[in-house]
Amino acid sequence: MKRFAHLNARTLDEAVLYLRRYGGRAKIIAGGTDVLGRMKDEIVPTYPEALINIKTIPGLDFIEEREGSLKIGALTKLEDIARHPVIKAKFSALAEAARRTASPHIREMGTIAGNICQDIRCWYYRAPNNRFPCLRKGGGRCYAIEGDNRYHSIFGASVDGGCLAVHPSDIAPALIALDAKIRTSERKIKAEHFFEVGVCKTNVLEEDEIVTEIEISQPPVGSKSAFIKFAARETIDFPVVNCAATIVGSEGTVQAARICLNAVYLKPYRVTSAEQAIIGKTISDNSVEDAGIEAVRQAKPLARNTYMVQIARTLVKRAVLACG
Amino acid sequence: MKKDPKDQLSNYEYQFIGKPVPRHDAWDKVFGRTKYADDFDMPGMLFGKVLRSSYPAAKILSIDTSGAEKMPGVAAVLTAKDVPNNETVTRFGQTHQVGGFEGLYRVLADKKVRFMGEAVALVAAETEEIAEEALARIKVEYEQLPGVFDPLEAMNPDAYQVGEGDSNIICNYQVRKGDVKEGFSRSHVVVENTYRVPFVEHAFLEPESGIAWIDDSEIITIRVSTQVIEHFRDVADVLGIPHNKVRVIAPMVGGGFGSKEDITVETFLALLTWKTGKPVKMTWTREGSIISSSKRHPYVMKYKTGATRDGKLMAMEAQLISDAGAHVYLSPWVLLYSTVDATGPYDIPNVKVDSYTVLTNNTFTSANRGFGAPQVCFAYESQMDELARRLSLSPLEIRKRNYLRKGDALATGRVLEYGVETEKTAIKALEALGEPSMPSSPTEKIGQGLASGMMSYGRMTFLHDTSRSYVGIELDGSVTVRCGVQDIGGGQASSLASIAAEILGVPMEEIKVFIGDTALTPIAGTTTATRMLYMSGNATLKAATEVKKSLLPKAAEMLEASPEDLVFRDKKVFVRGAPARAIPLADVVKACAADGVQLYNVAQFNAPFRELIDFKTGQGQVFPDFTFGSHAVEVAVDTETGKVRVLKLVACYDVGQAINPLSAEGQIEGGALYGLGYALTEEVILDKGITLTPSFSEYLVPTSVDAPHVKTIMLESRDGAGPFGAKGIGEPSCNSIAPAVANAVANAIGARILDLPLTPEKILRSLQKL
Ligand SMILES: Cc1cc2nc3c(=O)[nH]c(=O)nc-3n(C[C@H](O)[C@H](O)[C@H](O)COP(=O)(O)OP(=O)(O)OC[C@H]3O[C@@H](n4cnc5c(N)ncnc54)[C@H](O)[C@@H]3O)c2cc1C
Ligand code: SF4
Repeated sequence: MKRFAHLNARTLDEAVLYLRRYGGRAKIIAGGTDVLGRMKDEIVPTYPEALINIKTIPGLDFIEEREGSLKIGALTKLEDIARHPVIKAKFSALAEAARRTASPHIREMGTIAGNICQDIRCWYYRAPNNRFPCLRKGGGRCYAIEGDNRYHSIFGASVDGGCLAVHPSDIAPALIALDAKIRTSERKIKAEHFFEVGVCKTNVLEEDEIVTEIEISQPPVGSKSAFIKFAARETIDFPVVNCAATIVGSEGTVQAARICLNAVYLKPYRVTSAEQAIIGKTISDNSVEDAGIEAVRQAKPLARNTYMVQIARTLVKRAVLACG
Repeated sequence: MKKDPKDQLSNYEYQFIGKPVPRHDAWDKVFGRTKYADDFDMPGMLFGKVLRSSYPAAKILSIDTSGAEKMPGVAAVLTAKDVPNNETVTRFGQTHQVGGFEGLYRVLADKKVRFMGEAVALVAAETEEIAEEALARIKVEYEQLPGVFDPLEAMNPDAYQVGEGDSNIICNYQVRKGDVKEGFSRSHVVVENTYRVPFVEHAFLEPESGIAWIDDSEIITIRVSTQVIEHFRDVADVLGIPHNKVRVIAPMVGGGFGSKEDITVETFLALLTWKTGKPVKMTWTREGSIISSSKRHPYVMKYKTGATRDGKLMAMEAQLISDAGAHVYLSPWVLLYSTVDATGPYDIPNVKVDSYTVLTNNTFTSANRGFGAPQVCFAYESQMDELARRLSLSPLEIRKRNYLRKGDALATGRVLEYGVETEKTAIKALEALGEPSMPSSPTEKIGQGLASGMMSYGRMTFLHDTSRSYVGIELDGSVTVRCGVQDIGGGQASSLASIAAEILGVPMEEIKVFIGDTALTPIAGTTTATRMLYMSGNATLKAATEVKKSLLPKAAEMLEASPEDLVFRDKKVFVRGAPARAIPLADVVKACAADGVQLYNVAQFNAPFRELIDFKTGQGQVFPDFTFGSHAVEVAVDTETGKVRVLKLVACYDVGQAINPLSAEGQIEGGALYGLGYALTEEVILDKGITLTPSFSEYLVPTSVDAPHVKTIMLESRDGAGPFGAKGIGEPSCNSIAPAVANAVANAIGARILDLPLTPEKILRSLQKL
C-alpha cells in the first residue's frame, strides 16, 4: 500500500471542500471495506493522494420514518438495515438485500452509501498491481471479451467493444425496485438514474459530490417487495445474479411492478418488459414464467456466462412469486 | 461420531489409546496463545520481501537493483548472482537418493522466468513499507516469451519449451497387467470417458512465514512454518555451508496440506540473514501465497472400463496427464501415486495405465492432501457408477462384486497384507445415509451417491523411510518425548503423548512432547504422506517400550514379583491381580537412577525398504499399506439455477486403531470439507498463466454456512502398519468425497458431469437448460 493523506471531515461542507481541493485525486472513505481493498491491491494506475473520512461527520447514521418516507443516512451500516424492524416489515427487499450482503463483519463496517458507490469486481480489473490495464482503467482492451467471462455482462456492453463488467451491489436493485431516491450534497436523484459507467466510475456523482441520505416513500397499500440472490456460497460472496421486485396488487391482480436484476450488466438492470408481462395478471406459475422469459429476451451472453441467463430468468420468476 | 462395537475389539485393555481426550494443544489454540511462525519477533529484525516475475514466460534481459540499494533502511537486495548455489537438485529422498527423476530447485529466477510469481529478487529492510518500496525500485527488463499453458499442447515435440531441456514431458509411467484387449472383448459393457480436474489451492489459515537469525558461532537458525524441517540440508547446500550449520525449528503449523512440504521462505530467510547478519522475518501475503506456492495438479484422465453382464470388472485402461506447472518439484511422485491408485480399490484382471506429467508456464504443482489419489478417485468412482447404471446394478452391488480384499494383489502385483474393509465402510456409509429426503420444491431434485477410495499412508518404500523418537522418564515419573515431527494441526505431537502414556502408565498431562527442531529433537522425517503416526508413532512406541523394559527388573525386585506380572498404570507399578501391591513409578525411577539404569531410549523405526519399481510395467511394491473407506452423500439440485446443496454427508473409514478418536474424527471431518470444496466450488483459475483467483473472494472454499453436518463412522480393524494396528487417515479422509458428490448429482439429474468442480454452469448445461 502506498502513502496517502487521511483527512477527517467534521462537516459535509468541509468534506466537499477537501474533495474540491484535491480535484479528483481524493476519495471518500466511509467503512473502507471497498476503497481500502482497492488501494491495498493497487489495482488502478492512479493512486488517490488522500482519503476524506466522512465517519467523523455527525448526523449521517440514522434510520427514521419522517414525512411519510423512510430515510436512511449515508453512514448507516448494512447490518443495522438488515435488522431494522420497520425495514424488515415494510421494505423487505431492502432488509433482505442487506442481510444477504457480504458477511457479518463487512455488514458491520460497510455503509449503505459505500455499497451503492462501490467499484466493480471484474477479476481482470481487480487483479492486484494493475496486471491487466484494461479499458476501464483507460487502457486499450477488455480482457474479459476473450478471457474468462463467467461472471460478466449478459446484456453486452453499453457501447460496442466497451466494458463488460457487472455492477456487484445487492443493495442497488432493492433500492431501484423500491423506487428510492438518493440525496447528495447537491441534489436528489432517482436510484434508477444514479448508476452510470465510465472509466473507473460506477455512478453519476461529480468529483465533489457526496451521498447523504436514501429516501424511500411509504409503500402503497397492497404492495410487497422481495429480494433473491444467487451466489456460489451461502455467505460472503458477491451475487452471481440477484433480483429485487416490488409488486402492487389489488384484488389478486398486479397493478404495478418494478423488477430489477443486478450483476448482469454494467449497472442495475431494470426489466420493464418483465414488469409489463405481469401487470394486469394474477401472480401464477404461468405469469411469472412469462416475466422470466421477457426479462432475458434481450440477453447476449458471452462464451462462458449463458448459465447466468437461466439464473436471471429464474430469479425474476422467484422474486415475483415471493411478492405474491 | 459413532463407533460400532461389532467392528472393533473393545478398548478395555487400553488406558489412553482409543479414548477421546482433548488434545494438549487445543486450549492454547482456542485462546490464541499458540505462537505460530509470524507471532515471533526478534529485536532489530529486518523484513524480507520477494520480487516476483511480471510475466509467466519471459527472458530476463537485465536487473538493476541500484535504486533499491540506495534507499535508506534497505539492508540487502539479492538476485540470482548473489546466491552461492542458486541451482540445486532435489532427489526427493531426503536420506536415500533414488534415481529416476530429479527436481531442479532454483532459488531465484535466472535468465528465464517460468511462471508468474516466480521469485526474481529478495529485499531485506528495516520496515515492511521500505521493503515494499524497494521492490518497486528494482528494474527488471524482460522479453516476453509465448509460453505454453495447456499440458496437452505442451506435450507436442514442437511446443514452447518451459525449461532448459528438450521436452516438457517430465516422466511417464506404465502399469501392465494381463491383456486389456482381451479383457474388453470379454466385457458386455465398456464405459469410456475423459475426466478433468482443476488446480486447487491448499488454503491453509497461515500463509508461508518464518524468521531466521545467525548467532556468533555462525549457526543459521530458521523458525519456519514447514512440514519438513529436514530442508535444513537443502538450505545449507544453497549457501554452500556444512549441513550442521543450519538449524530449522518448526513451531505449530497453521495448516500445511502439502504446500509446506516444498521449501517456501526458508532459503530466502537464510540468504538474507546470512548477508545482513541480522534476524529477518518474512510472511507472504495471501496473494503471494496463492500465486507462487504449489497447487494441486490438474489432470486430464481418459478412462475406459469394461465389465461383464453381472458386473465383474474385466479391464481398465487409463491415460493420465497431469499439469506440473513451471517446475518439477514433486510431480513425478504425485503422478506415481495416481498411477498406482488408478484402479481404485478394485480387483481388475487386465489393466493398462499410461501416465505423464508435463511442464507448462502455470503455477507449479506439487503435494496437496491426497497426493495424486483424489484425482483418479474422481475418475474411477465415476466410472463405477456409470457401469452400474448401464448394467442396472446398484452402485453398492457393483462395487461389492469387485472390491479388493485382504490378500488380493493390486494391478502392480503388490499383495495387500493388512486390513481391507472397503466393503464394510460402503455398507455402513449407505446405511447411515438412510432414505432420500423429500424435495423442498417441484424444481428440486434429490440424489444420493457413494464412492470408495484407496490411498496409501507412509512414503514410497523405495525412499527407505525412517523415523526416530526419544522417550525419557524423569525422576518424578513424568515423561519427556523428543521427536522431530512437524505438527501441522492434525495432532501429530499429541498422538505421541498418547502412545508414551499408554506404555508407561503416566497420565497425558505429565507427558511433554518436544517437536520439530533439527538441533534438539531426533530427526523424524516429514509430516507428509500420512506417515507421521505410522513412522514416529512406531518409533515412540518402540522407545517407550524399551524404557519400560529397563525399569522392569528393578520394579520386580522392589515388588517381589516377576516382571511379567507387573502393570504400569496411574503413575504406579502394580502386581497384576493384586492391586494393593503397588509402588509409585517415581520410586522405581529413582531406584533405577541410583543403580545407573539408562532412563531414556532413542528408537528408530524403519519402514519396509524396497527398490524402485519397474516403470514400464509398474510391477513392484510402492507403498507400505493403504487406508480404505467410503463416503456417502445426499444432495439437492435446484434444476432452475444449477445450485447443489449437500444435505447429508457420511464418512466411513477404517482407521485401523484411532489413537485419539477426537483427533481422528477431526481429520475425517476436515477431509470431508476439503473434498467438498473440490467437488463444488474450488478452482484456481489462470488466464495464460496469470491467476484470476488470488484471494478468498475468488477462490471459493466452503464456509461454515456451506458445511453440512459430517457424520463420521470410524471402523477399527486394528490391522494397519502403525502403532496398535493404526492406519493413516490425514490424507485418505479427503479422497472419495468429490466422486460421491458427483455420483449423487448424477443420480439427481440423470446426467454425468465429467469435470470438477460441479458448477451451476455445468449442471445447467447437463440439464440442457443452456
Ligand atoms: C469480501 C467482501 C464481500 C462482499 N460481498 C458483497 C455482497 O455480497 N454484496 C454487496 O452488495 N456487496 C458486497 N461487498 C461490498 C461491500 O458491501 C461494500 O464494500 C460496502 O458496502 C462498502 O461500504 P463502505 O462504507 O465500506 O465503503 P467504502 O469502502 O468506504 O467506500 C466505497 C466507495 O464508495 C465511496 N463512498 C463511500 N461513501 C460515500 C458517500 N457517502 N458519498 C459518495 N461516495 C461514497 C468511496 O469513495 C468508495 O469509492 C463485499 C465486500 C467485500 C470486501
Ligand atoms: S470487463 Fe471491464 S473491467 Fe473487466 S477487463 Fe473488460 S473493460 Fe476491464
